[in-house]
Amino acid sequence: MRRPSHVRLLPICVLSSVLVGCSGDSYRGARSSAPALPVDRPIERIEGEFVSSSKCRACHPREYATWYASYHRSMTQEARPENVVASFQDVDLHFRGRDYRLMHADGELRVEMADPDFEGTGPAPRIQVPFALVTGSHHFQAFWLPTGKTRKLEFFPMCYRIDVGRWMPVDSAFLFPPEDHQELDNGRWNRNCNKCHTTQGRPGLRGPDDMDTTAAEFGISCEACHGPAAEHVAQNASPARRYRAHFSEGRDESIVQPEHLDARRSAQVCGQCHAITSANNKEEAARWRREGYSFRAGDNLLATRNVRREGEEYFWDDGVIRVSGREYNGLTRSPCYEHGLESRGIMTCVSCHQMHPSENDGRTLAEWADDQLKVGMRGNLACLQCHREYEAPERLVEHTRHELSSAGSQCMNCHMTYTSWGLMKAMRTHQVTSPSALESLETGRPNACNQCHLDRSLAWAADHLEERGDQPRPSLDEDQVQVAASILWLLTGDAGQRALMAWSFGWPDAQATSGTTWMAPYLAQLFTDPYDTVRFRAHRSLRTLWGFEDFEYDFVGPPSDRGAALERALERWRNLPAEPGPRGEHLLLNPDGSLQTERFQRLLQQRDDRPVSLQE
Amino acid sequence: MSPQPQGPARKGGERNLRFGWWSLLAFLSLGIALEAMHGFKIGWYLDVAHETRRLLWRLAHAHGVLLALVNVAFGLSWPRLRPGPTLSRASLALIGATVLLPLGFFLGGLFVYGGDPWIGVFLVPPGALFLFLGVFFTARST
Repeated sequence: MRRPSHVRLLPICVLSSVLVGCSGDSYRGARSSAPALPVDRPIERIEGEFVSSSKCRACHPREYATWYASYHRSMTQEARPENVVASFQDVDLHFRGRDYRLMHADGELRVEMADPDFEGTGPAPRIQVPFALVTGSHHFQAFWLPTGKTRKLEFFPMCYRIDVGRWMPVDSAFLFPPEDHQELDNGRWNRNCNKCHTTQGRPGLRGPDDMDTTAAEFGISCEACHGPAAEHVAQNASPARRYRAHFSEGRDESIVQPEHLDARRSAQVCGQCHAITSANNKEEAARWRREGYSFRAGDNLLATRNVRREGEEYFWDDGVIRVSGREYNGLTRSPCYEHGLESRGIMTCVSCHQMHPSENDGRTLAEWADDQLKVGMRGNLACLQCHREYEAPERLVEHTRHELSSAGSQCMNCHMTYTSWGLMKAMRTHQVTSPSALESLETGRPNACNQCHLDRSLAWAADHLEERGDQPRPSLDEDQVQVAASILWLLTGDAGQRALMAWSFGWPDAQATSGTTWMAPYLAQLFTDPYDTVRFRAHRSLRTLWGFEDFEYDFVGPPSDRGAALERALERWRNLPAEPGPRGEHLLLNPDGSLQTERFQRLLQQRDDRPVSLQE
Repeated sequence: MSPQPQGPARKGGERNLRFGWWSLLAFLSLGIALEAMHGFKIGWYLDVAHETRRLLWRLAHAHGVLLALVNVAFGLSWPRLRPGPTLSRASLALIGATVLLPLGFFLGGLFVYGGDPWIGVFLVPPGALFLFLGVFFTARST
């Protein structure tokens, strides 16, 4: 019997309903849980030899979890509400005469602003633009907007400083000449950030406004350090192979383990990003513009790239790296690396750092993630791994000539000083050196003695170093003999030196060594510094001083307010109850504790006002 | 009406029934233990690094409970099934599956190699085979 046509159609209708229902569900799901981001932006594209971290998770859950907790993972993220720290709920920002209104609407992060492409007369119409990507998650978050020109991005001019919880101009976040401004719309993310803030970034540069930028994965993920994993994943799909590996001592050669590489190759894994490098041949440069660098973890980095050693935007005059995040430059010029012996140990990144804390670490993942150090590596244990001759306290004290419990007996305070700058603070150099007054004289880089003994002159440091038999005292001018070196760097130095001093005056070890009662006038003087980042750090350090904990000052406020803030700080300092502390000519203080204004001003007039730009 | 099985054949149904209820008790207890580990936030079970163990023990609990109920259902169905050697094989296969499958998952989760279970997990495939055969023999006995 022939079935009625509507009965025959029933299965088709049911199937169609299911299919439509499924597609509708996935669409709604996508809209509700993950609103669409702008399409004209860089995207993740898994292809070729890369597989992405999601593949690694199935077999390496602990390593995945520790990586997920790291700031490497979140170096680049899609601009979704769950990935940003700041509130976007109707936030009004003003920058160089322009008004921006941030908003969180329909699950999207957007900015309302004047149309930057408007070429008509009269005020530009206001438009809403969704944010595309966000950079960083530890100290700062910077934001990127689509330009509408292929995948090219534009820098949003304001960034968010996490520890103080405020928006600030991106110009202020860098040590950058005040008369200059960051270029916002030059495709900087596509050209530069993409190199290291993603895994296997592919710039896809085809023209000034034509960029098909992609990455294997946003953020620095497994394959950045272990190499592409497609082959490893394919081979280990076999349980027999995996269980053979579990019960054997051998290593899986299908993937790179940086800890198992020789020290120099291991360091190059980190050096692919933590160094100032450039392609060392035309083919590599062309390849980078198209599809990213050819370097893979385990390769010889120097085969395809040059490591730069000079350039005032990165280096002190003697080639010591001056900016943060480029530790490979310092490491590879350290005697512990250059002259290290396999028998005793060669210092490499994983001598002190670890990308995956051990299971019995004892610290929270958040504690570990701040610098990703092995347990104990903030202290002398780091150096004692090789320099065992100083394990005995009496030997250490004999070497340092400082009390065992003092900052002067901490190896790194003398041999890895805070002379790199980045993220609005001083950071330890990774070029291991010994204190030298001569180097300070020749390069302007603060030496370890004077960075801690802020109240002492360069001559004092030179005398002590000569007395140790390390080095002869160099010839010094009158100020270098009579005035504390920190004051000379703070008043007469360039912007980089002033920034380091602004930080050093707030360094607890230096404060404990040098006393703090004399510091306020100097930090207050930096309130009028032309460089935003110097003013920011000076204010942060001033607030660590007794009596200034609540001192208010807006480092990006109107220039006319800066002098008033200086006067307020000086007034407060004068009115503080007299406390015992260092005084004297070398601190430009009279016996009654008042400031020697004339000498102070004379030195201030010698300030090195050459433009300084530290490209961290 | 089919005749009631007598003698050894009848014992097969009772065996599955008794085994099913005792297994249910055992695997419910495992479930309570797992819930307690949730309650007390035991890292060895809950941490992301131990998600393989958590997965395997949840599988042990779920398979154990489900197979215990299958044994109870088998025992209760016994009077309606066709007696014979096939049915006896079904009885033994279901008991074997109820032992091997959850035990394999449980042992597999005791120690883990990243995302891979301990070798105890190799009890699972024969357990699955027993389950397949148990259901097949039962179906043939209907």
